Amino acid sequence: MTASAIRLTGVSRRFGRTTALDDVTAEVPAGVVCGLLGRNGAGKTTLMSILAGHDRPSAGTVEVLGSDPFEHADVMGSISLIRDNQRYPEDFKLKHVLRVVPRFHERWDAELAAELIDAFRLPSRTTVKKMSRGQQSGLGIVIGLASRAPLTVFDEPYLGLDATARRVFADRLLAARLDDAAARTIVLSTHLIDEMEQLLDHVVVLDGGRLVRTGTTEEVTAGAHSLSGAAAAVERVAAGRTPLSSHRVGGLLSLVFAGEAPAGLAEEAAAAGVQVAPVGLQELVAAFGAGDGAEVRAEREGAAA
Amino acid sequence: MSTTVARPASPVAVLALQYANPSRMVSIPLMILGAVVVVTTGIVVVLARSGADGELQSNGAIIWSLVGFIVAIGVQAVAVTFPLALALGTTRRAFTAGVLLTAVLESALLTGSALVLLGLEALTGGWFVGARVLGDATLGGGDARALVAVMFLASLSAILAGAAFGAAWVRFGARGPMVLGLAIAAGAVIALLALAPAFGAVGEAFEPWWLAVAAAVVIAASTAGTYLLLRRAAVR
Repeated sequence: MTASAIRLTGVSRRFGRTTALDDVTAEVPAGVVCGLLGRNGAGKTTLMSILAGHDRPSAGTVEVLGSDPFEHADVMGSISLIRDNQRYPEDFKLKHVLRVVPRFHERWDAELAAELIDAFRLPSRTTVKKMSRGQQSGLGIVIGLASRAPLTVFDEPYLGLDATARRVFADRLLAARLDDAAARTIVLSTHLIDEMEQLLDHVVVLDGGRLVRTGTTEEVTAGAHSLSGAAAAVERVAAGRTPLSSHRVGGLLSLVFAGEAPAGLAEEAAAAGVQVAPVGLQELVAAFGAGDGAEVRAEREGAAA
Repeated sequence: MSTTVARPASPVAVLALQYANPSRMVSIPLMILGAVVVVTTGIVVVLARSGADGELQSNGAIIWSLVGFIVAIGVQAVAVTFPLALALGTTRRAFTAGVLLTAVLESALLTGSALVLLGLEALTGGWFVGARVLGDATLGGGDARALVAVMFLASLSAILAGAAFGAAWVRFGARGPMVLGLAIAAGAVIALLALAPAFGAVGEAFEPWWLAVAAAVVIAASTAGTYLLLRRAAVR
């Protein structure tokens, strides 16, 4: 049986009248790369803050590496969370960061850090504050990967990275997963889902603060299908079913539905000239984020019934 | 498959974070100390040439020139480094302990430097012109033990008070330091109003060690306040 690195039960976080997270229950197994996916404002950063012990839920319980992370010295010492807008002391340069970080992460890999710094071409004379967006993302990746922290959390690590740097990150992430599979769980949020999908073992999809899907990447993508073709034909085949999203271009229509395609749909669709296809992770996440949440709630209630 | 936890981040790591770039914490305070010696000595020379009494017995130049910077060190020790310390896995408790360590080390650095300068001042006969910068009456009038007590406790109080204001900023944003400042000012006014009828008696009974007790209260209250403010502070 696989142990959970993260266990969330009914987690909510409210800021005044705004509900950033609403009753989220999910588990992430140890030793996986987990994608935290959803639109801007879905609650990803709030959830990461709670996972890292930077914030506390308004309701519900959080277990990370077996304990509530908030002010738990052993657990917090096992977590690295570099934010997309991470603040550093204004006068800090690369050398200051490298001088400090190993003191916080006992498993710091200086060789890997040096290799990544070269690969990302991080400047040594510029203060971190004056680094470009991509260079700051690169620095965050250096800290996160070289920390070898048992739970490493990346908040939008791809922001501003060029294609070469993104490839370096993907390669090193894969290597980290293989090298540290027994001891390391990596959670990352990203909007470049197509590019990351192959690296994600597990996903947690949020929309409007609510959990809409979680499970292995295969389980989640298997739980949806699409219909596409001439609009009239697609609407006829889809009659009576509520899609998660619809996308119309001219006379063509594409609908995404939750759940596996019902029996007989393939034959009916083929007869009508409509294509039934599996849905990629990016398309599914975009579908969940396309509506006002009503379809998601209806789908969730239907699934629970 | 199970995931093991790592060693927790220690207050010493937070201390290292504060001193990672030594210019702000070491070079600049020492330069300020040196500059005060130079400027005060220059003023003494000017006063002597103008025929005025050149002995500035209690100008308090060291205290007044350093206090603002020292408070700012305290503010920065929390406001600037807290988000990074948390990102690297530090608890608020370890962070507060690290800030306390930083304040003690910085105060020791300032006190040690002041002590060395006092020795030089004595050796050079007041920087060759009879100036009394470190031998100022507010610093003990040349008594090394008094200078150590005043410099150390004043520095520690100022850094930790600054840290509490930094924590108020982290916890409540711009409103935090403003409300904290107003609350302290209101408390001081109320205390002064209550003590006003007894000012004469208090003045007559005053002992220098009362200042040490006051500093201890400021140090304890500021450290506790910093922790309590950070305890509820979220990094977003």
